[in-house]
Amino acid sequence: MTAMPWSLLIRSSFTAYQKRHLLQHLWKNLLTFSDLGKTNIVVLGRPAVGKSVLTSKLYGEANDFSWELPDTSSQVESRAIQLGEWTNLVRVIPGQTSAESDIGIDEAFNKHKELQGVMFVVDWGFTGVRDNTLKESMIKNQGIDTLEKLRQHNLKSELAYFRRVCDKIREAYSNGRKIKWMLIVVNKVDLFPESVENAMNYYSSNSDSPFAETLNETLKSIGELNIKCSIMPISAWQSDFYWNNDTVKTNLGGTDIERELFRELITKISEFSK
Amino acid sequence: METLNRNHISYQEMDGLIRLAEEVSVNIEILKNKVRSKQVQVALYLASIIIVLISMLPNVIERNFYIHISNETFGVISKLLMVLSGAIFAQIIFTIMEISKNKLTIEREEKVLQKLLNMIEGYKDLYIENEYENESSVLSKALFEMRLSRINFG
Ligand SMILES: Nc1nc2c(ncn2[C@@H]2O[C@H](COP(=O)(O)OP(=O)(O)OP(=O)(O)O)[C@@H](O)[C@H]2O)c(=O)[nH]1
Ligand SMILES: [Mg+2]
Repeated sequence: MTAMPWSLLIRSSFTAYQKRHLLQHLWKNLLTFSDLGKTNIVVLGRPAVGKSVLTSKLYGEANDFSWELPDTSSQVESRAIQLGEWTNLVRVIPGQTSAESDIGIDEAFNKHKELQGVMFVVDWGFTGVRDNTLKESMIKNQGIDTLEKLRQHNLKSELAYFRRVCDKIREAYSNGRKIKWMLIVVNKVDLFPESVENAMNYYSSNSDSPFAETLNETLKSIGELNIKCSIMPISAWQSDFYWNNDTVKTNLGGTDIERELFRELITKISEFSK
Repeated sequence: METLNRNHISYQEMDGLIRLAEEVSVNIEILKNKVRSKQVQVALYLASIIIVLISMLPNVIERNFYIHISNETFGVISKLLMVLSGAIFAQIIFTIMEISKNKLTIEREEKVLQKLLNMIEGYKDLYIENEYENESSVLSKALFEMRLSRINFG
């Protein structure tokens, strides 16, 4: 009789151990649902580079037929995403500057030590402009009337945004917070399948682009051994791109490629988060 | 890269846009606070109706106030209480209507703010690019950033 509770205790703790991933998954989901959890992975990038779509894909909801493309995010989006064995609380910071994005960034970088990784989403200048007034003003008044000019403009703004993110990372490091990895996610490769190499090169620390310069400075100042850094191509959502009279057709070459890219991205993140 | 033929985004234009966003944001906050206090009001009204209805049960009155009430008096009292709770009920309906009106306004204001922030984000990039070499603009850029980082949706 007395052996019963002991064996029960041992057995249930063994089951709990076996199911630790599931339990952790449920726990993270609860934290996400109540919005009380601390950010493990933060997704950053300029407006309309595809952060929300990418995260929804990773979460799995974007595969649903009833799912619709989101508009500009005004709120931080929280998702408990299973990457590898463990579940991470992923928070997407809206691209536009507002109190909401400021508070989100502050929470991730300055409030606790749970932040493991930063995903910085870029799109090699293929950022669309959602607002029609702005679009018209850019084309007519600012002379940004070709795709190439738009791309140059976007790359400049992206660099400015990246510098701000790097400042945040450095600041976090100087406050004793150890961010383990940074992933530069090159999205929308379906729009430039032939130049993916060039794009990857532009963002890689081995090149002499201004982006690489900022990246290298940051890595050097926090110590290259402290943070793992990598660049991954992805295509979160295939659609054509229009600017004034220029059109770029989406051309990834099949859903197999899309899936393969996602698989590699997830593998990378789970390898980093180990 | 070829130089662009541009109409520069001026400080005044940026300032105007951000000021408008600030006004809308403040307005949203005021409206949201109004809605919250109205919701509390509704809850209080509901609670008072419930109290009135409960006190209308004859044995509740007798037990709590140790008074015996004749059927006649009870009829009068209960009629009065009925009227009272009817009035409160009307007030509830009225407040709920006001809440939903305010909510519609909030929705509209949020859309405006969303559109404004979208525009500001784009113009800010253009402004920064235009004024890249201009020293005095470093301060104005920082100020714009600070003002933007205070704008919220209530
Ligand atoms: N061609 C192409 N378009 C994409 C891809 N990913 C996203 N987009 C487009 O980019 C648009 C913006 O994506 P979002 O995910 O809403 O952008 P976001 O980064 O969340 O933007 P904010 O919420 O404003 O910060 C989408 O509506 C898609 O049309 C991609 O891989 N390829
Ligand atoms: Mg978004």
